[in-house]
Amino acid sequence: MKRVIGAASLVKNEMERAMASVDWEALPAQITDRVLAAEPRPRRARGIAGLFFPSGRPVLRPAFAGAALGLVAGALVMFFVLRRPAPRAEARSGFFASPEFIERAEYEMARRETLDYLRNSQYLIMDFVQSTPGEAGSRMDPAASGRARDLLAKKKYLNTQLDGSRMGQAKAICDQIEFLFLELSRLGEGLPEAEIRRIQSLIEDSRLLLKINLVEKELEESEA
Amino acid sequence: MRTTRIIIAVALLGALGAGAFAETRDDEHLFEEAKVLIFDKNWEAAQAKLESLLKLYPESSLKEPALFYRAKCLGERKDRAHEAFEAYDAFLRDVRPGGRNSSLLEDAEVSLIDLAFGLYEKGEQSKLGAIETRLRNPNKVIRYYAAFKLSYIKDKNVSGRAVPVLKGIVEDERDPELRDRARIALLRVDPGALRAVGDDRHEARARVLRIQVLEGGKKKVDINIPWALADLALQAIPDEEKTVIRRKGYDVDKIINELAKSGSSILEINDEGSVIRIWIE
Repeated sequence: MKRVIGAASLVKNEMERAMASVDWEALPAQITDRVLAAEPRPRRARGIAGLFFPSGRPVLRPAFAGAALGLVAGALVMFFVLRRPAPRAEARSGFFASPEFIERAEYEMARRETLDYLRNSQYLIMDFVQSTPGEAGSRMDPAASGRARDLLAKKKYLNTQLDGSRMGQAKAICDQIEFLFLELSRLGEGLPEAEIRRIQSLIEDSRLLLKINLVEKELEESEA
Repeated sequence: MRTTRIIIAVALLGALGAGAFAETRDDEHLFEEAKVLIFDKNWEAAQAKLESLLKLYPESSLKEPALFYRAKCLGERKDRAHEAFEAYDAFLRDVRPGGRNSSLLEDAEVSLIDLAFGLYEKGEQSKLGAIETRLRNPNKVIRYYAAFKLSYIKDKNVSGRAVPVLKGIVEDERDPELRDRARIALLRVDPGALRAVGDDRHEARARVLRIQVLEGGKKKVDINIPWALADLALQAIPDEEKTVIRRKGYDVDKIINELAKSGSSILEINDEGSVIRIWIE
């Protein structure tokens, strides 16, 4: 214990001597001069390597080592998050369907409605063609006029799908029928005999009923 | 002297009548020719006939249908959409509602919507108004058509404006085809709105049809739609899968019947690495 106390007092005496030898007023200037006179430090390694090996030697500074660890941990987390399968469809709520599916469903609907339109038009046109001008039955009765108007409305909703390439042939026939119905509904019951004959020959000359039959068959065979 | 006066008066009246009759026959003749050309889809020639009629006989009783069919001819010709739009607009301003040509009115409105849609798609934003104002038209055909057409616009902020009319069709319309059309339009624009529509009025119980097609464990088709569209949805399954379904002895009617009977159970069809699952929720 005496030896320890004696060694401690030795250190104390040496410290007091050293402190007395320092010129405290000149010390800051001396430190600055020595720093400026010192040799330049070796250049820092550039690029990413410079971040981790600033002195050119492979020594990791604590801050950079922390950043590197963070990056690795982040990358791992992202890897596991992205690798996880998408949420199960069963968990999704509400209705959904892909645009391609909606397009196919619309085509299917248009196909059915066009078939229906053609069949109903066929009956109406056949009635009209078979009537004899001058006879009571040859006039457009109000019910037939109404059916023509209903078919005209139906055709309007079909237009968007008929414009598509898959329904091109059906569109041509449907447009001709639409024109006939437009005229029949415009003239209604006041259809003169000459007009009846003219429309009848227009239908016969263009083989409209035959064309309707052919398109019907085509549509029946071409489900979506 | 008196007899002479009467003869002259009758002759004058006769001449005037004959002139008027000749005019009527001429404008009618032009109109008939134009109609045959329209039927044959010879739009340019038909348009020329109608323009002659309108120029030579501006007071003709056929003025209104001539204006309408002229607009139609322009609408059918390429790159004449602007002129067609103006021509239909002019017809709609001229036509007397409730008159003989009122049946053309609805057709003109619908054609105007089509033209406005085409021009909007080509970048003419101002034409959108022509569709939007028709969403409030008292005529339901025009109102519905405007909503259906608007639903095809890719910008959901714009197409979303059709939602109230589309929901109204699903809820109130009696025609099942129109209801299906509105459902599909809602599915395209805002599926959430379709969920909110009270569909129960026409269907016994609002249910959801689920279809999944898995190929090598991956989902190829994943659909969740109203049961009311089941028939259409099953027809719209891609061709490959439809072939598999048929090969396994199923058809659409059979599938619908099985699902309707079984309630929510899964119908699963396995075929060479692909699995088709159809069920009701």
